[in-house]
Amino acid sequence: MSVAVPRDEHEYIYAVARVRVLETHLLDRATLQRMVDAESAQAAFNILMETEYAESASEAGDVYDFEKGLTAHLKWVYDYLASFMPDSFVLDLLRLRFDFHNLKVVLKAKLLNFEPNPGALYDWGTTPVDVMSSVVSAAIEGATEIRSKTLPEGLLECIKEVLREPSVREDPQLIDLIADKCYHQTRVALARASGREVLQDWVKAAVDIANMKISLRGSKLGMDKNKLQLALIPGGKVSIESLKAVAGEGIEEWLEFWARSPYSEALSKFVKTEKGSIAFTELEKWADSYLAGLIQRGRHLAFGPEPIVAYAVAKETEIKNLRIILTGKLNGLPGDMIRERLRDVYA
Amino acid sequence: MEIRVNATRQELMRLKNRFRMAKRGHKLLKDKRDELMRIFMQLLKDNRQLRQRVEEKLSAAYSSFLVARSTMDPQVLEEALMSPTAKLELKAGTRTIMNAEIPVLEAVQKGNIYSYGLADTSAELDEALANFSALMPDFIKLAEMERTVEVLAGEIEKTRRRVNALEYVLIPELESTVNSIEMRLAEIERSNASRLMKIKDIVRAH
Amino acid sequence: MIPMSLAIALTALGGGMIGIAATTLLLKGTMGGLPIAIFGAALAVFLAGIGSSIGVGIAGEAAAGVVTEDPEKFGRLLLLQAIPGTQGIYGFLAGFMVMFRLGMFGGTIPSLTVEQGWQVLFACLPVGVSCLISGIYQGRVSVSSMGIVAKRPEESGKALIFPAMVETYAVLGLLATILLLLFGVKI
Repeated sequence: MSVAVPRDEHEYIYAVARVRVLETHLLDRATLQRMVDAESAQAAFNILMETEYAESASEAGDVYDFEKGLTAHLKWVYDYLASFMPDSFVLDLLRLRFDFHNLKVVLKAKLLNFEPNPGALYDWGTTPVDVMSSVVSAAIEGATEIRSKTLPEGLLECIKEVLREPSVREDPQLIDLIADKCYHQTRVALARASGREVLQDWVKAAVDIANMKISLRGSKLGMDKNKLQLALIPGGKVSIESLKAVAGEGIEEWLEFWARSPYSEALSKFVKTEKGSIAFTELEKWADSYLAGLIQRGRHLAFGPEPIVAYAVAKETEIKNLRIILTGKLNGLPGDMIRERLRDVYA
Repeated sequence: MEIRVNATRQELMRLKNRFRMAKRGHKLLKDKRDELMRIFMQLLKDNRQLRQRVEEKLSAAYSSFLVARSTMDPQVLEEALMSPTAKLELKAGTRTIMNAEIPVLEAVQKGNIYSYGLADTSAELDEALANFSALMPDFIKLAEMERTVEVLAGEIEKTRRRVNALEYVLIPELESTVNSIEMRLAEIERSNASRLMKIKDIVRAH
Repeated sequence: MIPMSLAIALTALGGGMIGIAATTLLLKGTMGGLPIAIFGAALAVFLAGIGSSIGVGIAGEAAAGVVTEDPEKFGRLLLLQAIPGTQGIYGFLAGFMVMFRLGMFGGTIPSLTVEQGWQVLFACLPVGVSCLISGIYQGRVSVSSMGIVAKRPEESGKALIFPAMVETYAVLGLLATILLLLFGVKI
């Protein structure tokens, strides 16, 4: 992939100005609160119809189909941002997630021989799924020279790495683990090439937090130690070698390791000291909020791509919050249970 | 109602035998019915408890799944559950309780149920899947039990019908037939006696 | 973009001065101070002009972005965009002042000594350099302030103050140049 690097921070003045106005349309906490307190899911959905979501939400028809509306809105966000972005750097950085997700689906479908459900695919990645699909087919059939022009470098590397694993058909989890790793590595490389400090900080922290989750959940779910070490992602702020050494050792070692990391202060938010157990709900909420907070630091820069990234992240957080609220409302979860899962709002 | 038979002593003897047999059979069947009822009631109680437990666990599993779903893109969830590697082996057999054939199911779960990436999925999904997986043995036990209850209910019904047939039809019939034969025989006796007395009188008058 | 234009402007300034100094040395005695003074006036106009056009330019980009999403903010944004434009005017004013001071409007072309020429040139530097740099930075502040207008229209008044602060130094530069021209240069 010809790495698209932001050429000059002044390239983004126009785009940032537009994003500033878009930011004012973000739903504020009061609106979300109103949705949580609405008497029914339909009432909550109606509140959404008064906001910038009206158009996307009307695509869903009614509240039972709200997922369709949220997906439509996410697609709208990226299409809209793409319409005025001066270069592809910001969008590449943001849309890698969708590319690697689609790649996982395509790899699984091709290796395990089934037709993927179209609902599992995002159709707004940087690379069309059918292109990805044909490259993966060719790679599985043993084409030694995969045409590298058709697919970004990071994705291509990922395909090669997955196919190098001999037991990938028997253990498709490897596909996910490797793709997650490649995704983060590609993102780190992209951010590093941009030289933007806030972005680098953000993607590196994302690597650390991914490692935090992987090592914790891996040992909790009894994952094989070799596999766990394979899954851990290099490129973060903490040393990957020392993390590999303690991976799979148990919760005490895990706690000890992270207590010595830059994230030690956050541990108290989700570690219940009396039992040494981890509140995963809290951990994930913290992780989302922490990462969003890191990128929001760049939101007030008037020059450079950070406010645009921050806006997209805020938008994704907002969509996540809406999903939490509407799923909760539809299934009659109590308001407190919904509220405790809501992520920070950056309106 | 009576059975139409010749009112002979031989017939009476036969009927009395049948009557005794019927009584004994009735008692046996009644015992069987009572025992079946006892097992049935116990099963019902167990079944209700199990069902309640399964329902509780199921709703807990569903709500944890719901929570997991609410924090993930539907696409991510779909992808995470796309390639399951866990397998459930089900062995089916039968055993008999008091002549009733009931099923026996045995399930063995193998493989990794958490076959997805750990970086972009929610840990609440682990919990939901663990809940569902833990539910499986109970689920199968419940299926086995409900079928057992069904089979036993059928068996009880059959036995009850037999007991009733004996108690309210065959036994009263036999009883009244025996009675009427005895009465008939007694009457024949009496008419014989009076006939003999009459003959005696006639003989004496000459 | 900005550092580069700044570099070009400063190179032009330095280069021009070295050029003039070299010419003066070469043609010692044969050349008067007039070209040097005119170069000073030109410097004041074009350095300030560069500053303003960059400032107004980036502010305009941002204003266009905001107006695309929210056309109602046009008025307030126009004001913010115009603020970095003042430097260009100050530069022009300084240039005009030089011409006036040299009596060019009287129809008689004055003859200046080399020394007087250099005096005028140096007197022009405060406005030129301060307007070049303040114009660019005022443009940046204007862009940032447009963020305030976009996000919190009710705070537009405050948004105006930040770029206005930068104006101070452009004004001081202009003032210094005018005072130098009026009282510092002996003609």
